[in-house]
Amino acid sequence: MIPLLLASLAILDATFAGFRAAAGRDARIFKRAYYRRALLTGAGSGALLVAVLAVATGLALVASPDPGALYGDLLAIGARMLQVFLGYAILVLGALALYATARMELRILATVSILGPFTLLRPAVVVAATAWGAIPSRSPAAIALTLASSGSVLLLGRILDHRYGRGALGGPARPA
Amino acid sequence: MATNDRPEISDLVIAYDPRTLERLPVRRDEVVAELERHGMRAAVRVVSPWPHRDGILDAGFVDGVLLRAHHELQRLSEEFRQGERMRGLLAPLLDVLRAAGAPGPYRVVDVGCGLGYVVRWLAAHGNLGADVELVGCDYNAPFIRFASALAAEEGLACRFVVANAFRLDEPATLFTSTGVIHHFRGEGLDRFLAEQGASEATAFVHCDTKPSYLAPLGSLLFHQARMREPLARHDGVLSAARAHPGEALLAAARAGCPGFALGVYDGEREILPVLKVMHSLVGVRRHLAAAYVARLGPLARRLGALE
Repeated sequence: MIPLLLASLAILDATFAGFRAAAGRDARIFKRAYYRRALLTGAGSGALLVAVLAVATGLALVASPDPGALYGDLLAIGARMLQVFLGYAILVLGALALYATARMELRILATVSILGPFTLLRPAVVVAATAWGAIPSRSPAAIALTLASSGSVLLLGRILDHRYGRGALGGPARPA
Repeated sequence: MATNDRPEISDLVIAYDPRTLERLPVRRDEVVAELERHGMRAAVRVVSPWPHRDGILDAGFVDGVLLRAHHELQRLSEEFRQGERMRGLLAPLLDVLRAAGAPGPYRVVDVGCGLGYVVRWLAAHGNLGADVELVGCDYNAPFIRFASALAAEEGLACRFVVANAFRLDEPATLFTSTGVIHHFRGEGLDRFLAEQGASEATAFVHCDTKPSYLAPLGSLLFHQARMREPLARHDGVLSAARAHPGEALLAAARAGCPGFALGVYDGEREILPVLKVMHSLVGVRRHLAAAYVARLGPLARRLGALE
């Protein structure tokens, strides 16, 4: 359950990263298809990242002298990280639900008080969850995998943003 | 020096001849000197590396920065539902004009339209009627070219012109603007409103950031989260600090537009100012004011007294 939840959150985060990378770069009025593509690009990138991390975790387990202990350590780290991530995810998804359904003033409340500031806080939340998860661990391999996973989740957002900025992911005509 | 006396970078890096609207060369050292005079070190860091030729800022580079910044600004306008807000105030005005038998077409002229987001949104979703012409005006030719191309690509019934909105061959019925009025300061604001007072226009709606004790912090967080272009981050934050209080807008409008009944939509102060982050100066010719208030329906409460 813990690996599944972490993988789902990583893909969800990448999906939103795709949206953020595309936002503010297309001045058309009708751009549902543009955003749909951005969301799918983010989700696909996130799924690929999860697959790579799963392979890396598998290799680490195979190479470990005590795979059971390493796996247990990873689960304990993941459980602690979820305490942070789930709180953040519930807050952001709740604000998105409000933005999608409420009247104009409440939508603005959602965006001003949660969606904007908590987008800014996202890297800090990932760092905090990583620290909260990894610091009690005594397994260098588990800590290294955790740092690599969190780092690559943050890096993926930067890569998507950079690639959209360079026009590498297509889209309409934009200023140079 | 007070924060609201500080210029935005975008006010300094581009200049036009007010008569011919021709683009004028801008010296980078003069921009930097002006920013330093105001103690704006962060703004100096933004502009100092910009390319120049013999001291004159590279116009193509400046255009690129401003276009990217306005793309990001449009994202904020989408998030803050600027088109929907403008429609809510415009549609009843147009209904009042029709009911009063005013001859059409009714020309809605957006002043300082930038990439024309609100105009294009109204053309796409406004359902304002076939007797309404939507026109966006801006001095910035690249903005107007881009806005026109976007409207053409999406088949939107609106047009954009490089022009002074108050000197059009076919004058405006209604003037609008979004996020523009804080760029006019002191006598500039008085002149801006007096132009409308002296025009043939029936009404105006100027929407802008609503100043509050939370607006500077909120704007800082929001622009850091949403904007990429350093100019957009800088000017966005400063614009919240420079936004005119409703009372100042009303005072300037009362002096410049004596023939109009005036009010500020969403102008009342709130204890927690996060629900209504924009306010709008609304002016309506006095003989139409009562009908407009009636036509606004429940929204009239948010306009308060129109007098």
